[in-house]
Amino acid sequence: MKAFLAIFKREVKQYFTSPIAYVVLVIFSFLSAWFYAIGFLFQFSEYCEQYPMIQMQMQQNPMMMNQNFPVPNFTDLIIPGYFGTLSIVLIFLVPLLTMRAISEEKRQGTIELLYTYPLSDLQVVLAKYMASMVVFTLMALLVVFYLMIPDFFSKEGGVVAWKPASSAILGFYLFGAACIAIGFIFSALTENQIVSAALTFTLLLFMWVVGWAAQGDNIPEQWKKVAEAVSLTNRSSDLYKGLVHLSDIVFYLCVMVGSLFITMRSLESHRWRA
Amino acid sequence: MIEVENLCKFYGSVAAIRDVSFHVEKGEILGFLGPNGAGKTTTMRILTGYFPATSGTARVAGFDVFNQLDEVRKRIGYLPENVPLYTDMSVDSYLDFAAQIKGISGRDRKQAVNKVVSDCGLETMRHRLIKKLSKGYRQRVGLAQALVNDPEVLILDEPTVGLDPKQIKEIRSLVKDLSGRRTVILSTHILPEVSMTCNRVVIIHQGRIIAADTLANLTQQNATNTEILATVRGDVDRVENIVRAIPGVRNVARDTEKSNGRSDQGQVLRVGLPTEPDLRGKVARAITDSGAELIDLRSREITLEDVFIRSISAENARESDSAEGMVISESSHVEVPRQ
Repeated sequence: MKAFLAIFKREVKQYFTSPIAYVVLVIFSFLSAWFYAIGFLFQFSEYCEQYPMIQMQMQQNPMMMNQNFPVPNFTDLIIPGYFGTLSIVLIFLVPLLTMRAISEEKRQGTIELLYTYPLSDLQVVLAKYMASMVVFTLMALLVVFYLMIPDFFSKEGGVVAWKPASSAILGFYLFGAACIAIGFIFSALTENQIVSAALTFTLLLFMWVVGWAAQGDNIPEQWKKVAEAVSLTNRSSDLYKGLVHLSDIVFYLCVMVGSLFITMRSLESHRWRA
Repeated sequence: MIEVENLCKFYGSVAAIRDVSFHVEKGEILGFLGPNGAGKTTTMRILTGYFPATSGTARVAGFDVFNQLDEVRKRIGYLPENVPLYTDMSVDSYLDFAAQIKGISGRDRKQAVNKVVSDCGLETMRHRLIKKLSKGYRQRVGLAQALVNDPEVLILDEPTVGLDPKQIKEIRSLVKDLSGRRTVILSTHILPEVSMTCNRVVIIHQGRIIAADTLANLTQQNATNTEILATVRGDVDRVENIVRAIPGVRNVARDTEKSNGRSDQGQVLRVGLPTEPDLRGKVARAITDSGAELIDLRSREITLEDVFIRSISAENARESDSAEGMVISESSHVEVPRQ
């Protein structure tokens, strides 16, 4: 436990004494704020202003009833799309967050000391993972803060329905946790940070775009099913809408535990590969 | 304290060490001597539990290195060859980290860190970042890291490599002072280092131990012959013949390398003598009686270098003797990396 705390503390400190955490946090806060403000909030508030007009037109012109003009509801209209976009942002940022986690120890040779200290590989991997999760938690908290803004400015309050919103936050958190765990595999496989980041990015990107096949035309039904099952991003779409399926949660937890297990095995492998 | 029996380690089909066995008593400083690539680091890594041996057993402080690894690790302080440190930490916080990871808690940890900082002479560097330290100080930090949990066994892999002469001297005396009641294994390819710091020597070459004994015994074993260097000015050819005629003198040779090729500076003669009886006086008189000038007379000490080279050549001779019988059984799958 002491060894775990020692590594955890060192890793968190490392994130914040090097520019990595700041770079990731600044990029994330900029992009997440951009998409929140421009992409959704402005368009949404415009739609809210126009909606009474649309409603009147709909009453006069029954033809318009067939078109889709949903009731302007923040939770339904903004949260699923916004969190979907954030997931894509994460795919770009997670490799930066995880690339040096273990590869740097290998490159500097400090892993040799870790291997000879009285501690287990599990402690090393978990401590480092938790440290990365601290940075990611800051990112998630930022998003939670964004969601509180509309309530703060509206007179009546209650703009955000917190139950579906917390489902979305849970989904986002699980998605990020799984991505970081995947990043750890590649960080343990190589001693080169660039290679580690590139491979992580490639796999995450693939696990995103493979989901497109699930919606594509002219794709055999069984392939669609495989794509749906493998896609890391499609899994969270229901959670972002406020639908909590146990299967989705279990999926992310499995990816997380599985990836960390592979990372551990990879660390261990030096004992029999050398 | 440390018992190593028949340790073998293969990297694929290449043997890094073969049948390495040695013992280290409690409180001893053992010098682990060998050229680069001889298998020193491999042996040390097995002892620290970095990786397991292919076969053989090793026990540290009574605990098996393979089955009771955690117990062994708690009792070992290890300084790897290239001194891997977290260079972006300060000395203080790094040592605190090392102490915590080794399971020292609370107030004890602060004390432990303070102690190694003062022991290793790091007081003035406490708050510096490790990357700003000189190589000598980094070595000290590495040593402090190994010592922070007050281990019974200290394993140092080439602790003076890459340092300047002053730093080498400092690290050597540091190792000697800090060893105290600890058992120390120190590897090196620098021969005088062993004679300066160690009680006992294990010489390893091409993955095999070729000699293991105390320093005194090793130098004595080979000391049936001595050699003196006589610098003579005058008719050197005549002197050479006269000296050669002295009963007991084994051989006389001219050392052109040391003579600078200038006859007015004198020529150096290497005279091989038995240790018993002492013929040095007779040689000196014979030279002066011949009418030549004896400018300098020195006896050449048997150094560890001689022991080392002799052991290696003896080993090579033995190997080539038995080579015919072994070719089929060994060379098909074993290859010892050669220097």
